[in-house]
Amino acid sequence: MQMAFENTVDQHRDRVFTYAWYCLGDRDDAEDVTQEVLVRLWRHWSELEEARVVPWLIHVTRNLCIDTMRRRKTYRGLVREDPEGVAMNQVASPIPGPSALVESMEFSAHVQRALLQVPEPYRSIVILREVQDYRYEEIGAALEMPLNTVKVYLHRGRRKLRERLQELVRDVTP
Amino acid sequence: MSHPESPLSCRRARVLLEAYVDGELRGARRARMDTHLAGCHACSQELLRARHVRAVLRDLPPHACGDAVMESVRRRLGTPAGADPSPAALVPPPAAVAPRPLPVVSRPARAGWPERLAAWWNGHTPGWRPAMVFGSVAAVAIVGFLLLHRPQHEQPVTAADLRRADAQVRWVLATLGQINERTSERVRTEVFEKGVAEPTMRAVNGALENSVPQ
Repeated sequence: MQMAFENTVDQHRDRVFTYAWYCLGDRDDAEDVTQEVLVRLWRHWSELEEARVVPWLIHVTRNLCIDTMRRRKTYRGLVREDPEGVAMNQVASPIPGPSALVESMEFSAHVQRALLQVPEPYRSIVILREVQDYRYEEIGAALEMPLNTVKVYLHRGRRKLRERLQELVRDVTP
Repeated sequence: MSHPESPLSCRRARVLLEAYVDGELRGARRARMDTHLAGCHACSQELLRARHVRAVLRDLPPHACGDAVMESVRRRLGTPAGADPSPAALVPPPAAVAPRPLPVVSRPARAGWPERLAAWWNGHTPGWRPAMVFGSVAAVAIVGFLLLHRPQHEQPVTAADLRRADAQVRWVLATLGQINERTSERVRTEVFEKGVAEPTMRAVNGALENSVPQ
């Protein structure tokens, strides 16, 4: 059972971390979330069927990311802070991907920054579907949503992302 | 609803744009969208932007979870620092341990209400607690206000008093509703609906029914 747990962790930990990274935009927070997810996975290991592992990981990661975002809001209510000051300033070491079709590093950074301004659950669905290529059924099972709702929210999320991106580029462009 | 043969408006085209990008439009709807995009520069530019953003998203790289995270996980699960991080070093979860036969003991006395209350409180996640505290304080405040401002010597309550009370109740319920949206189904049902909203409404309705507007 321990070997199976280790194998599952090896298989999924980077995906959990990537989801938390794009959801929170901060490496330290993403690491904290990932650590907590894996600890909870161990504690629930005996209860989880293999087919439920992926939806469970997504579900728990999302909840912990939302908790982190709420704590940030409370913190910022006490200490004035530039909401974009922390996000995207810590760059994780990316695993070299099979392709590098990003038009420019700058535009990619804008997209990631704009993504942080898209509200939940649209942000998560965009990340899970577009960045991590989860199937609609997996996303629906993890977020406890019907398939059509996932699709509608994905479309809304991308639309909101483009709106935020236009605002961002307008603010940045001299 | 627009006629199937009538041309698409830009507003409608923007609504269908993402589905079009995903190839989910079929038949006549797709044909109408094609026709509109062929003749509308703004929407066709928006289509290009939508496709571009989707391509950028799909090319965002995965990120590696550092070894420090696994070290922290192992520490929390009980593996000594520096020990071999092999599967055997992990502390097995409680379910994996063979159960020992339970000793026969007499049934313990039931815990008093302070202990039960503490157990109930500690059983909820910390995220509930501010919402529960706020809801309880709000309910006590509104009921307390109504009781303290109960007319003396049976003086009739004016219409202005009722409007003021109504506005305050609406404010409290709207605020609870905002918290309501962010909390789980369990908190909504058990805490707000049964524990706060319903008693608050009963208390307020009772106070208002006992007053006579001028």
